Amino acid sequence: MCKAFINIKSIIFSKLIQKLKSLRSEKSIITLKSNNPKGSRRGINKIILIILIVSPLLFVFFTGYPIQTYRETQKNGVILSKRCFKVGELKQFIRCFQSGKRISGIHLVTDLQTKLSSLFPFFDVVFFGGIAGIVIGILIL
Amino acid sequence: MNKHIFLIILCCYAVFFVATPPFQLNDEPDHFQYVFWLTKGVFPQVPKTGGMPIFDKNISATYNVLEVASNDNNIPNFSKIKSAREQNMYFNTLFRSTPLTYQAHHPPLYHFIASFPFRIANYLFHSLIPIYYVVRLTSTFFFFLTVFIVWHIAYQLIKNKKIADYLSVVFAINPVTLKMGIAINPDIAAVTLALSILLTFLAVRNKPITKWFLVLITTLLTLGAYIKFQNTVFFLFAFFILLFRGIQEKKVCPYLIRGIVVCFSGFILFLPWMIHSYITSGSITPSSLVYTFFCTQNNPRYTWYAVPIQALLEFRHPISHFAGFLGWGEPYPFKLFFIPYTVIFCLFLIVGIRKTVSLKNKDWIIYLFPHMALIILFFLGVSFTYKINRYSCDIQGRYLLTALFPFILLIFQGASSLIKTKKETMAYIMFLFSIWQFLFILCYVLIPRYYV
Repeated sequence: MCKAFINIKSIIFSKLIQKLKSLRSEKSIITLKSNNPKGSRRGINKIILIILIVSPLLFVFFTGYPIQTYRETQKNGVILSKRCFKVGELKQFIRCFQSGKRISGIHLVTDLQTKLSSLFPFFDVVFFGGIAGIVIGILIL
Repeated sequence: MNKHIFLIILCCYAVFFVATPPFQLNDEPDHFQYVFWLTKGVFPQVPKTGGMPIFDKNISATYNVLEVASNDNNIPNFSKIKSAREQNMYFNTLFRSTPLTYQAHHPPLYHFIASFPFRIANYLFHSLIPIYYVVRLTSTFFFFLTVFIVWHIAYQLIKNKKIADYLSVVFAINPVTLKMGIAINPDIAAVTLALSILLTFLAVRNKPITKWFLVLITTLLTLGAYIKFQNTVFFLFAFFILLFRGIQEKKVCPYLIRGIVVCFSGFILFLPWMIHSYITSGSITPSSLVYTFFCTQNNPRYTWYAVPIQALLEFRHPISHFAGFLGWGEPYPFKLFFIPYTVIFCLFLIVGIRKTVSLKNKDWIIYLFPHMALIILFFLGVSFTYKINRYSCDIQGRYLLTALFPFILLIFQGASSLIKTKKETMAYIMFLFSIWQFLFILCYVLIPRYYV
């Protein structure tokens, strides 16, 4: 059983290494170690470009979302409690960011994971797998 | 198509599919109900007046747990959804009279196709939420079929596989395409059929037209019309192209007859639906009746010379929607993003049209332009109706989804002529921007709307 597991593992790893080698030979952006200075500069430029493309993800991960609610009293005296992040309202988003609580980093990931998995089993896996797939897809291209 | 490109499309689709909670997209509860009644062997009807209760009490109770789209300040109650799923919540309704749904104004083909996955899922699960997700797979099928067709159209017109790959991604991961690609709604199927008609004509542009081709095109036209009424405009497109082929081959009369035969056959095949609509709702275009129920007459009355200008200006809405409006309800990106997006989109589009005309690119002018123009003209007519009747409704991005790929091709032409660079590089830039746009809309529209 253990031997079979080791065999499968070694097959998977050897395939992964082969794939990485083939990517190197295709001069993909993973190729950073290059004797050609022009090639390495191009690789760095590509990495900067990819960071720019995935910047919304990075920004959300590190800065997060404001989660407080704000209360608005209407003319008839009714108090409405609204979410702070009203989609599309940049000013409100910035104001809430400066003054209130926010959810970011691992907390945000865990919160999303819980909510997605309550919609349907494994939806969290598909969601985060999908995002990883997009990033890998850009890296390979 | 390059497998890595396909992987990116697949991942973007999967992320939107799982991240959009049930019944949040345009008119989904109504469309789902339409499918539900068809599986029961009952054909629903359009209500005679607006504001009527269109859901059975039991169905309403179910939707109250799941539906949040019309209430912009709420996020879904995930624990309620979880318990509904675990308790196998389901419609338990016994109808006494003909069921009503506003979406019954749509021809039934999409809903009929969707009724098959519904039946299978119903047999396997008998629980509303799994059934809902399985029925969504109907749109998944049409989404990927559209991507396949779009790639082939790009390849037919540009003859470069890499550019076709990049531009297909730009179309496929646009938030409006993704939104309609996952929604239980006939819009994506309507796009599939409309673009397949264009591709079929492009594929035989240098080949003789056979009897079997005419049968195929009549079938596609009829199926398209049975999915959404707006696709009837492509009967005119087929007639125009056949006439053009006749002029090109100096056989005007035979081709004119072929055009008439195709249109007449399609009309005869579509006639049962029009008769049904006339009998049940008193109109052969029941969609126009439904507009009168939904669109309130609270717009200002325009003078006669302002109506055409207002009708044209209405098209700012669908174009800005392509920036990432995920409506129903309110999800839209920051103005700082969608206003410049709309301006740049229009600028490149106009330059692209000018460039294509000046280059005298025959295939683009003969095939792509009329296809795009006919759907725009159809909605220009709708827009005129709105402005004349003071309706507050707007032309949405999803209505013009059929024209989005022609728009992207023309924007590509416009951008390549304005920014002096290799065409392949331009397509790559558009591809990278579309990925950034996807992630931006995911992070700043979709997730905040439903999760935080």
